[in-house]
Parts: sequence; C-alpha cells; structure tokens
Amino acid sequence: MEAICDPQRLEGIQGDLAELYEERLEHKGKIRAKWAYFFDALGFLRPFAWKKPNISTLNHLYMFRNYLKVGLRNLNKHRGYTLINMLGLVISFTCCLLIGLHLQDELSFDRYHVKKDRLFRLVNQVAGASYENGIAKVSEPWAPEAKATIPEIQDACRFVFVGQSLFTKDDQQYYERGGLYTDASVFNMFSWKLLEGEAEQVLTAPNSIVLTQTLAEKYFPNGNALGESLTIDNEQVWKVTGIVEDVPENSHFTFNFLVSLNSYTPPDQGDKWVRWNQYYSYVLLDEEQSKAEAESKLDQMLDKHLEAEQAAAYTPFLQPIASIHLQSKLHREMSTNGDLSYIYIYAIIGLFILLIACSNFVNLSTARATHRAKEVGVRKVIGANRKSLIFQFLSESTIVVATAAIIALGATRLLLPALNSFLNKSLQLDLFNNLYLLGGLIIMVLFTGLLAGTYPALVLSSFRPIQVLKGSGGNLFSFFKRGGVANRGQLLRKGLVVFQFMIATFLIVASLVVSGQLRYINNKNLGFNKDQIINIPLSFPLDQTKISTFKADLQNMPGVLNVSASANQPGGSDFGVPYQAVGLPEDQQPAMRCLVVDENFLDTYEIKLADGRGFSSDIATDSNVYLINETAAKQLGWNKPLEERMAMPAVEREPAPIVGIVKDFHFHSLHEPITPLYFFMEKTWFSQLNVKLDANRINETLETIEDRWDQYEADLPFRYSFFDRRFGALHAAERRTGRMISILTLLAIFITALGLFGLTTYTAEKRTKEMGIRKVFGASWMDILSLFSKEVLILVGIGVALATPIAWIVSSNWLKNFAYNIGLGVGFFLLAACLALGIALLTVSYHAWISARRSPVVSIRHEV
Amino acid sequence: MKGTHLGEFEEVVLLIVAVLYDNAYGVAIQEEIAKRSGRKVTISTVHSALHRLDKKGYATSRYGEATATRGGRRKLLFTVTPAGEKVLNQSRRLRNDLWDSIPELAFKF
Repeated sequence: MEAICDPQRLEGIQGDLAELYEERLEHKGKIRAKWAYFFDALGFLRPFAWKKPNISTLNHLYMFRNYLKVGLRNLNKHRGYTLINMLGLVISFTCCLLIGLHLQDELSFDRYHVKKDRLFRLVNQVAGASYENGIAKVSEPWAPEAKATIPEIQDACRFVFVGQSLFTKDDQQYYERGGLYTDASVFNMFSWKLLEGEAEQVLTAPNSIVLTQTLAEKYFPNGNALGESLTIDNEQVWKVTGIVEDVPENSHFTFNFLVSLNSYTPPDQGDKWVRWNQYYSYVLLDEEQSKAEAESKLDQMLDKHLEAEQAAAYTPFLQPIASIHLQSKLHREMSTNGDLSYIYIYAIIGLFILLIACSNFVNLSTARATHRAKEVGVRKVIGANRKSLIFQFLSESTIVVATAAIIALGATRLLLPALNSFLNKSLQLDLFNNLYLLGGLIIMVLFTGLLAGTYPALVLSSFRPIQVLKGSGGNLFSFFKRGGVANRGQLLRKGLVVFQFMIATFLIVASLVVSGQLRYINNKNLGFNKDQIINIPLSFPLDQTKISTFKADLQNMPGVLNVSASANQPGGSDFGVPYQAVGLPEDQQPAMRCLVVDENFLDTYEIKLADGRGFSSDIATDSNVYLINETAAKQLGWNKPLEERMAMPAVEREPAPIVGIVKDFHFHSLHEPITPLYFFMEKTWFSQLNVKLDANRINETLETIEDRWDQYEADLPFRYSFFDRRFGALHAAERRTGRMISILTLLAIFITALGLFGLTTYTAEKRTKEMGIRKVFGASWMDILSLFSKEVLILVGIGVALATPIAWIVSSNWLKNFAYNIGLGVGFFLLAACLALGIALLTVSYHAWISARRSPVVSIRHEV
Repeated sequence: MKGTHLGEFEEVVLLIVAVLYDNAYGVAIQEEIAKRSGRKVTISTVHSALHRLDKKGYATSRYGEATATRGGRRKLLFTVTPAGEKVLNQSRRLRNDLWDSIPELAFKF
C-alpha cells in the first residue's frame, strides 16, 4: 500500500484500517479481522488513492524534445569535436565488446555441466618430480577404488587418449583424432547430450563407440548410424552404440568420439597403482563441501595401496571442473588452458581504453563549456533550475554514448570473424540471447554516459546567469580574464591529460617488453636448429625392416639432408620413465626427462656434443647406452660421468655406460630453465621420423617423400608436420597476448592523441588573437610552438613519471614467468617516454604550425 | 475537474461530515452511515467519496492529533467548506421546492 498510495492520504487511511482491525479483533477474532483488513486494504486499489504523477516530470518530458534538438544542433555545429568524441568512444566500445566476448567465453568454460559444482578432477602432486604443480593424470585403479571405498564420492569416470586412429567405413578412410576411452558413467556425470542411445548402456560393452554428431554425419550421411560398425586401424571393429551432440567449445577438453574403456588394455608395467599414469580421472561428490573430506580420504586410500615412501611423496587433490581452464597449470593437461592473469590483463586494458575515451569526452566538454555558457545563462533566466540543466547535459552525453555504442556494435560484428580466427574460437555476437552482453552493454553506456557527462553537467549548470550574460554583449574573453567560466575544471582537465598519458605510457612499456621478450624467444639460440625439420608419424605395428629401408631411401633423396627415427622430440611429451644412476644414493638422482632417439637424431636437430660420442649404428651395444646433457651431468655430481653407468629397471634395461655428454639446449619452452635430460635408443618405441630438408627445395622434396611413402604404406595416407611450428606452439599464448596488447596499445595511443588534438584545437582557436598579437610583436614560429607545447609536455612528463614505477613492477613480474628473459632495461622506459612525448608534440605542433603560419591580420580579426 | 454535481452518496457523506463536525474521519463516517441508514459500506468507498468531495471543493481535510490507538497514526479529519454548505443548501432547497410543489392529490393512492 505504501508503494502506491498517495502519501498525503496514506497515514489517514492506514489509521482507519488499523482502527477497524482493532474493533474487529474484539468482536470477531484475529483471523477474520485479518482477512477483513486485507480486503479493506484491497478496496483502496482505486485511482483516487494512488500517487499523483509529478507534474514537473511532464515538463521534463516536454523539455526533452528541446534538449534533443539543441543537443543535436550543437553536435552538428561542432562536427570536428563530435567526430573526435565519437571515434574515441566507438573504438573503445568496440574494444570493450570484443574483450568482453572473449572474457565471457573464457569464464564460461565447463560451466554448462549441470553437476558442475560437484564435479572434480582427481590429480596428483608428486614431491620431487620435475613438474611442480602436479600431474593431471593418475593411474588406472585410483578412480574406481575411490568410488568404491569413499562414501563422499558418488561416481567416477576416467578418460584415456585413443591416439590417432584410421577409421574405415566401406570405401571411406580417414585418420581421426580426438578420441577418448571412457567409463560407462560418463553421461551420468557430464552434461553432454546423448542424441541416440541410452546413457546407461552405450559404453558398457567392449568395442562400443559413441560418435559426435559431426563424425556420425561424416561416416553415415543417411543417418541411422546406430548399430553400424567401423573398422579401426584395419584390425578392430567398433560398434556404434550412440550419438552425442558435439562438445561445446568452452570445455577444457573435447572429443570426437568416445570408446568404452574396457576395450583398452594398458601395457603391463608392474605396480598398477604407480605405473601408467594415463587416466584423466573425474569424480562426482555428494556435495561441494565434502571436497576436503574426500581429499583426506584419498590420501588414506593411497597409504593403503602404495609403499610408504611413495605414499608420502604423493598428494592427491581435487580440482573443481570449472576452475580447470583458467587456473590449472598441471603437467600433461588435456588441452591448452587459458590463463587467469591474461583475463585480468585484458579486462584492465579494456577499462583503460574506456577511461581514456571518457577523459576525452570530459575534457572536450568542459573546455568548450564557454560555447554553451550563453545557452545556460538564457535557460536559467527563463527559469531552468540546476536539476533540469544537469538532466539536459546528462541526457545529451548519454545520447552521444548510446549512438557510439550502436556504431560499435556494428563494428564488433564486422571485426568478430577476424578475432575468431586470431583466437581460434567461434564467438558469437548474439545480443538478445546473451543477457550478460546486453546488460553489460547497457551498463557500459550508462556508466560512460554518467562518468563522462556528470562533470560537464555539473560545471555547465553551475554558471551564474549574470556573470555569463554580462559577457555576452562583448566578447567572451571578458570572463576568461576574471577566472570565470573557462578556467573551471582546468585542473581536472590537466589531471585527465596526465592520466591518459600515464595509461598510454604504461601500455607502451608493456607492449615493448612483451614484443621484445617474444622476439628474444624467437631468435634465442636454443642450442639446436628447429628449422626445416618435418615429423612423419610411423604406422603401428612397427616394421623395423620397412622403417630402415624407408629411412635409407629418404636419406638418398637429393632434398633430404638428414633422417632419424625417434619416439619423441624436443618440446613434445618426454617420457617420465624412472632411471637409476648406478652407485648414487636416491636423493642425488634428480628427476630427468628423456628423449628416445636413434643415431642420426643429434645430427638432424644439430644438437652438439660437449664430450664423448653420440650413438652409432656400427656399434651393436649402442642399443643400450646413454647420453646425458650438461645439466644432468652437473646435477648427478659425478666426477667423470663418462665412466659411470645408468639403468632403467622399470623397463628392464640393464646398467649400461654413459657414452656422451650433450651440450645444454632448450628442449622446452623458455618458461622453464634447462632441466636434466638423457637419451637412449629403443627401436621398439619409435613413433616418428624426423627429416631435415634442404631449405631451397622443400615443396618438391615433400612431393617425392609422399610418392615414396605410398610405396611403403599403401594403406595409410601420408602425414607430416613442421617441427618449428609445433615447437612454436609452446609460446603461442604469449605470442597471441603480445599481439593483442600491441593492437590495444596502438588504439589507446590513438584515442589519447585524438583527445589531445581536440583539446589543442580548442586552445588554438581560443588563443588565435593572442598569437596574432605575439606575431606582430615579433614572435617566431618556434616561440609559438614552444608556447603551445610547453604545458602539454609538462603534463605528459608527469604522466610518464607516474607510469614508470607501475610499468616497472608489472613488467618485471611478467618477465619472471620466463626462465630466460631479456631483463628490464632503462631503454624500454626511455623509448616509451620518447614515444609518449613525441606523439604529444606531434599532435600539438600541427596547431602551433597553423597558428604560426596564419597572418596576424587574419588572426587578430578573428572572433571566437 | 469533472462536474460539480453532488451525487446521492456524496450528499449523505457530506451531511454526515457536517453532523460529526469535529470528528469526521473515515471510520466514524462509516459507522454513522450504518447507524443512521443501515447501509453497510466499505471503508474504501467512504474514502473514495471523501476524495471526490475534496476534489470538488465541498470538503477539506486536515490531520488531527496523534492518538494511542490506530497504531499511533493521526486521523484524517474532514470539514465542510462554504462551497459544501452552499451545495447542501441548494440541494435541500431544491427538495423543499419540489416537496412544496407536489399537488396534495399526488400521494393519495
């Protein structure tokens, strides 16, 4: 009642109701009295009792048409300023929208699962392992045992990579990747929608396969895939038991097909609880809060099944599924994850750009307040109050901002495909199905409109009519001199210029550092040569004679410089097979990575030897000897490593001598320092050929290789990848962010310069007469230039000075991510300062030049 | 403002406002109507009529002293304005005239 009732009557009516209620309470009892009260109250839902609309609002609505008209005329009259404002706002809105879309997508990862709050990934942290944060996969029995023995864990599901497989259906034959072996419980836990097949049943039988819609349509274009079978790798037959909707892209992992886990036989590696950590394991808890409880019980479970020493080193923990994409940085993640710090960086830059555009708006509006002063004066004399004037200017700025937002929407739509191909995503600008975006846009418009409009509105509405109108008879200079209208907000204006250049300098430093570091990474001598090498995957099962003939064939081709076989390559997965350094205590044996290679590998990658020799095909015993890198030699602490021996009991390799020491090279991203590494030869593990090509004839050589491949492997298509591209992927995130930051920085600088340009345009106009007089008295154009630029340069200088410490802290923190970085030199800051000052000077000098060139006769006659 | 016509119910309410003189507020008026004519009206109907009288200028309202009952809320008290008195008199005069001009035979059934 209070909400709708005319306040003048409310008290009397409520009083009457209360009196009636009390009376009835005595006579009829509480319940009936209450009901009667209720109906009586309802009775007041009549027009007479309602609040009356405020008459002055009606007036506002009427006046609004006038505001709009005057506002539009004003914008039209000063097209240059309008353009500067609009351009700045449109650019910043477009940036914000694109950034917003990207961030929204990043933040939405894995949140579509209905049970997302209770879904966790079971991972393991191993004390003393080379991967500090833990490993994303665990071994086979963990998840099922946890489900069976821990009451908090309601369900569990494991995934194992299928690896690339050759699918054959009639005459169609393709390599398919992105398959996962998984437990039958998968559809109970994850919210992927099964289009055909029954969730409980589809993956129970061995050799059952569930295809995604895309894959099903590829092999069974006529539908009815269910019950059909596919031949895999020319040997197995998998039966299609279900079809699942394509996995949304905002998932930390995706798949093209799922195969029942009981079709998968892990190799026998000894203790199942420790070996073969290939199982991505997910658990469903009974409630979100039982995470800690479940973790401690998992620890106890390991105590029971592992040897004491190992159990002590292992710390299992659970990661909420929605946090994996942005916050998890484990060893062997299922796919490349995003990074929360980049989310913050983008958000902050977006905000910066928005603020710069707002500052432009405020600066130009207040600076040009004099142009509107007369209007304000007249309005006030006629009877406008301050409130209505504030409303006028706020609505004007909101209209400008809203128009900019609409243009920005169009621009976003145009630019989105470019962003998508850049980020390798498929973002959509679907305003009406995306409430966050719509809401965000509205908030952005109102926020910017208010932020940019409030100050000008307050300043403009505060003019005293007498002061303003007194000046109107003659020229407007009269009240500049009294420190009146024009000087209002000068301090703020200066402050904003400082602020803008502070941000711009900060961004310049940031992008210089990022691009410098990236160039450093690209050009850093890695210790080996990553260029012109292709990797050709071998087919399974391996046929050693076929491989050696093929190798020999390739070796004889004119365009091929070198060929070697290996199981892995730098930057790829390096087997964490445990080793034993003979004669050393356990705690002196650091975690080591290994490369499984043949005798030509070092030559192919141009890896250099520091001591000893490499593998040789002429020495039969070389199938069981070792090479280590310098770091390994140092960390193992042997005096004469070449006289020592290593063994790999886990894979039944007897102790054998170390025959060579390899010079350190960066076999991983430059985030990490070089770690201990060893090489050994194990022909049965080989999975690829590494072919070094002659740079001058790559294309023709590739064709010849393909011809030759078809002779050896008629059943299998020829595939290859360039090694440098794969290795480069290790720094893809930095490269992408680096380019984004550069682009955003350029835009920020542009908007800043635009604002400064607008401001000097105004100052120049205002001081035309003064400049004319100065010229008459003999000022040279240099004098005029320095007059214009002195103040601006001081402001920019302050901005640069303020930005420097912030930029220093942020950049040095970022560089700490890299084990090998360029270091933060003074050069960056000097260059950034020069750029900022240079840009400011350039912007200002245009007007100085115009003013200086203009004949004094013209400028003195000039009326503002 | 639409019309100045005094409706039948409005007339009753206005008369009762006059009758109650210093204590003419919603509930009292409602009770007085019930007592005198036996008509049961809801409180909102009374307020509605009072509002119309107010708008037509026949009654004015003011707030009385706060009381301990009614949850401490003040009564919205109504008084008849001179215009109200005039319209009541008019109405009465009209009726009197009409009564006076009824031929004696008219009521002989």
